[in-house]
Formats: sequence, C-alpha cells, structure tokens
Amino acid sequence: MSDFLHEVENALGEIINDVQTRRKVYEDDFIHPLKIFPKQQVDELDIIHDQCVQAVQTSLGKLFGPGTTFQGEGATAVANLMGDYFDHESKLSNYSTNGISEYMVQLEQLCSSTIQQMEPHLEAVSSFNSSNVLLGDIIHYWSDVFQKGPQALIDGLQVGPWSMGQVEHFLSGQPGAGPQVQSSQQLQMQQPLQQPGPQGQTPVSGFWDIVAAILAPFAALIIVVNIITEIIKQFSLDWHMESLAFLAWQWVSQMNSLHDHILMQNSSTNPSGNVGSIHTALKNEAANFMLKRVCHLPGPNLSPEQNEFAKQLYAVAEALYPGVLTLTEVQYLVQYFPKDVAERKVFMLAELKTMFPKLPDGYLAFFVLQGLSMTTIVQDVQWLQTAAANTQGKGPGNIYYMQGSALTNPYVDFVTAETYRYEAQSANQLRAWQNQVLNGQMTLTDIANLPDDAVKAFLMKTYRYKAQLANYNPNIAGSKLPDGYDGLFGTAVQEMVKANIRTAPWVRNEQSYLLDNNLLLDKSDAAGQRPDIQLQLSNGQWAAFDYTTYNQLGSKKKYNRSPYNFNIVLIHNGPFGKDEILTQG
Amino acid sequence: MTSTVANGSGSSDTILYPTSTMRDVANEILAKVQASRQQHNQQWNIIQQYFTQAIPTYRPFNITPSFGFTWGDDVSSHMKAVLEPHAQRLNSTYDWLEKFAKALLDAADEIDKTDTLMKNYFDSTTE
Repeated sequence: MSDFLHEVENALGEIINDVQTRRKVYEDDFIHPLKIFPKQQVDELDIIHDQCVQAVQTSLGKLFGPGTTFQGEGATAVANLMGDYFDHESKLSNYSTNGISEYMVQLEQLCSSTIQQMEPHLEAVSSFNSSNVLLGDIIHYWSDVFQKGPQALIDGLQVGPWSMGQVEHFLSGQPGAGPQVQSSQQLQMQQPLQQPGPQGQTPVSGFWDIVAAILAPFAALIIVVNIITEIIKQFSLDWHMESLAFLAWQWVSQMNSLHDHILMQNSSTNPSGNVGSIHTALKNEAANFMLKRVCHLPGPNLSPEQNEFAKQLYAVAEALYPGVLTLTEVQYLVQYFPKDVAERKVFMLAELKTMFPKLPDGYLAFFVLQGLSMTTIVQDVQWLQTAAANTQGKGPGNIYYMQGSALTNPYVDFVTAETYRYEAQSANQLRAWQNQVLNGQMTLTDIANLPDDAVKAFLMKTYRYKAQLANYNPNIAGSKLPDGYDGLFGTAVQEMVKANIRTAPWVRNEQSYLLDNNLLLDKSDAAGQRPDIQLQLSNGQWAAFDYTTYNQLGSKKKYNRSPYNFNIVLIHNGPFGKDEILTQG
Repeated sequence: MTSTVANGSGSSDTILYPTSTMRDVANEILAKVQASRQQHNQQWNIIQQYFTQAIPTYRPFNITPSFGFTWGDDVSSHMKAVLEPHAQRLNSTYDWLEKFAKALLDAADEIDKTDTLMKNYFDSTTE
C-alpha cells in the first residue's frame, strides 16, 4: 500500500509543479501586464485629440461665424472640406462624456474585467500545493475508499470546506447532499463580454492531456489514476485551469476583435478630404473671373448633357495634365465649340498652359476660344513676351505698352497680338507693291484697282517720285524721301490693319467679344484725338492702339491719360530708312 | 487684408476673402496641432515603454508563453495591435489638419497674388 501511495504522491507532485508553473505564467506574464496598463496615458491620447478638434472648430468660427465675410468658390471648398472632416471625426470618436473613444473604453473594461475574473481562479490554484496538509489526508482518504470501501472512513474528517461524509454523499450521486463547492461539470462560466463560454467547446487549457501524460506510467495501477482523478475533481483544479485558459482566450479574442474594429473604423473615418480642392476652386474662380468679367464672355451656361461631357473631358485632362486646366475653362470650350472640336481644343489648351505656365488661368483659354490655331497662339504669346520685356522706347521689340502691362489682360493682349500680325503682314505687302512700282511691274491701272484709298495714295506717290526713290539711300547725306512719304506709308498700313480687323473671324464671330460697340475704329475721343483703335474694357475704361513707325513712338505718349488704361504702340517698318527695326518674333 | 472682387456682371456672386483672417485661422490651427502632437508624443512614449514592460518575463520553459494560442502571443503584442492603429488614426488627424492649414495659408497667398493680378488687368500704369 505504501508503494502506491508513494506513487500517488510522486504523480501528484508533478501535477502540482506543472499547475503552479502555469499559474505563475498567468500571474507574471498575463495579469501583471494588464494591471500596469497605462490607462491614464491612453485616455490622454483621446482627450488631446478631442481638445484639438474642438479648438479647430473654434478657430474656423472666425471664418464662418456670424458677421464674417468669407465667400466664393474657395470658401465653399474650405467649408466642404471641414464639413467632411468633422463628419469623419464624429464617426471616429463616438466619445463618451469624458472624452474617451468607445473602443478605448472597451479596452479598459476588458482588461479590468479579465483581471477580476482570473484572480479567484489563480488564488484557488495557488492553494493546491504539496505543502497543503489536507492533501495528505485526502490521499489517505481516497486510498481507503478505493481499497477498503466507504466503511473504512474516519467519521468527521474534514477536507477543506467539506466533511468526508459530504464527499461520500456527493460521490454516491445523492443530489443536494454534496459539498458546497461546484463540481467541474456543474460550473457556469461568467460571460462578461458576450462570448460563448467553454461549455460544449473543446477545452483550451490542455490540462487533462498533461495529467494523462503524467499518469501514463501508472496505467496498470488503476487505483493511482482513480485517486488522482478524484483529488483533481475535488479541488476543481481542472475547472480552474480551464477557466484561466478560457479567460485568456477570451481576452485575446476580444483584443483581436477590437483590433479589427479599429482598423475598420480607421478606414472609414480617416480624414480623406483633398486639401488641394481649395487651390482647384480658387483656380476655377480665377478662370471664371478672367473669362466672364475681364473678357466679357457670357457663360458658361451648359445643358446637363454638356455639363456632364465637360466634366468627363476635365477628368481625362486632369489625368493627362494634372492641375493644368480648370473645369471652368473646359466648360467654356464645350459651350463655344461643337463636341468633337471641343475635345481637341481642351487638349490644345492643356498643351498651351503647359508651355506658358506663368500666365493666369483663363488667359490662354480666351485665345483658344477665339478659334486660333495653336501655332498662331504660340506666336502671339511670344510676341507679347517680347513686348513685356521691353523698357519703353529702348527695347528691341516692336510692341510697346506705353501704359499698362503685356501678358496681364488677354482681352487687350489678344487685340495687340492679332493686329500686330496684320500690321506686319500689311507693311510687308505694301513694300512688295512699292518695289513692283519702282521696278515697273505695277501700272497705274493696277494701282487704281486696289481697294484702299490710303494704299493707292502711297503707291501713286511712289509712282510719281520713282526716280528720286530709286536713288534714295538713307546712309548718304542729302538723300531724302519725298515730303510726307513716310506718313503715307504709315496711313496705308493702318488702313490695311483696319480692313483686316473688319473681316477677321474673331470680330464677326457671334460668340466673339469684339463687337462693334466695344471696338472703335476711326472714332475720336472726348479730347478730339483718335487712336487707330479704341477697345472698351469691362470696367468702362479704354485701351488705345496705335500703329506707327519707331520714330513716331514718342508722340503716342499723348494717350497716357484717362480714359485709357492701356496705351499700346505697335511699331512697323517704314518704307525703308535708317530707323528700320527688325520684325518681332 | 480683405480681398474683395467687385462684381462686374451685376450678378450676386460676390467673392470675399478675408486673407488676413484666413492666415490667423491657419496659424492658430498649426499651433494647436503642433502642441497636440507634442502632448500626444509624450503620452505615446510612456505607452511604448509599457509595451516593453508587458513583454513576458517569466519563461519557465525557456520559451515565450503563448497562452495556448498563436505562437508568441503575449499581452504586449495584442496591446500594440489595438493601440498602435488607434494612435495612428489620431495622428492622421494632426497630419490632415496640418495639410489643411498649410493649404489655407497657400490659398491666402494665392488670393493676394490674384488680387494684384486683377488690379493689373485694368489699373496698371507705368507713368
């Protein structure tokens, strides 16, 4: 008998060692970290965030609050962005009254409830040790029960909280008479987090596997196995170990679930508003202002279908030329051109804006809207760039902004560039006719058949003074032109420019801004002076354009006055002479 | 400065940008975000120290106890898995607000620049 009791003690010792080791793991590596959870710091993260969001809200009140004036597409973009932002933040926080987010509250509750539930089990397991004197009594008790039968029991022996009589009663299957401790089969797990309990589930602790392994060498001694099994049951050791494992498993499951929820929440609440939309809105607004208010262009006023088409085109252009175009520019192009042409014009404009990125939004769109080819627009802008680089009267170019600046107002610059083209072409044509007259290739009849009186007057004078002109050399002293010859050339050029303007597609186009009432040819101003062209600006002021030779430049300062905001002098070459200036471009 | 664009077409679409207030608001947001981020980092540093403290110290089998689940499972890794994405989300608020405030400052500059340009459209004089 003492042999098998010795075996029981040895086997039980091994089980005690294993159980206590596992208990310490739970205590040191699980419960302790939960107990030192930095709740205050975790709470602070939320509080700091919450206070920041509230402070931002207060600051924004200065822009959107009562009595403030923050209006326009840019303001709408800011309002939309912040509306979207606060919407996202409110979904994120779902704050409790003390400013802590929902999932952090859950985390803290999970940790504290897990500690609370595990501790009784740990205490119970802790008392199951070899120094427990009752253990020896229990071993002896069960050895007697299994060897001699219940009659061998010592009356009144107490084992733990119950008497041996109670234990016997319980084992004999009489309900209500057993010890006042739940058995491993009777126990209900607490379910604080609405997770399924361990009942009906595969045990997670592996406790019985370990016991079986320890008892394997005693398989032949059934009494050893029986005694140890009964002792384990009596101490509910299997239940305590199972509960600890389950609570740890439950904590891990809940943590995994929290992790998943937080990730999901992050993906749906992350502030995603594109702050670039403010810049886009301002660009759009600037383009709209330029085309509508500076350039007199009505619109854009599109049908729903056209608007949808414009948005599609804009999206494609954005993909190919990010940040280059504005939706307003595309809308104007869709309004002013047939569908297939509009598409080409959109990409032409994108190319042009890429080539000349410093020009304000809407500037180049205005040129494109006039129906010009890309080559023509590029040439126009290059001339204007040269003009913009001029210092008055001293520069190398042939366009002078005596008042106002080139490359700022496309409504003015367009007339400058396009009429400069006509001027250069007209001067060249006139010199070609002059040479034909001087070379005898043009007769008086030919001259008479030309449409313009000023051209005829110049060529008639050329015809009359053919011999003097043939010998003219500006570099020889005493050699001079017939009186008024330069002036006749200049007048002829002006008239040819005006004739070109009258038939220009951009003047006669119904959608053009350059209608007769704001583009005056041959009209005197209130001071009795008459620039070659006067163009009325959208603010009611005027731009003066004069086409002349370089040596007349100074005389055009007379238009540097009201009502002219712009005074532009466009220089052409004379018939010939020392003041010849190279053609621009 | 308040940027006001006159309505030339007679319609009611007035454009008003108080660029000075825009800058004030943007700078306030930037300052608040910077302070919040600093406080956040201070707290987060302590939480990170906790992650280290929560790593298992008792290794009776000379291995990291796993509580019967994924190998290497421990409180520290689970706490990290929950707290790191949460902190990251809070940080993304600061990142976004910072971008927004800078965009607001850029917008104020852009508006002032456009204001100058608009003046030149009509009013530039050289003499």
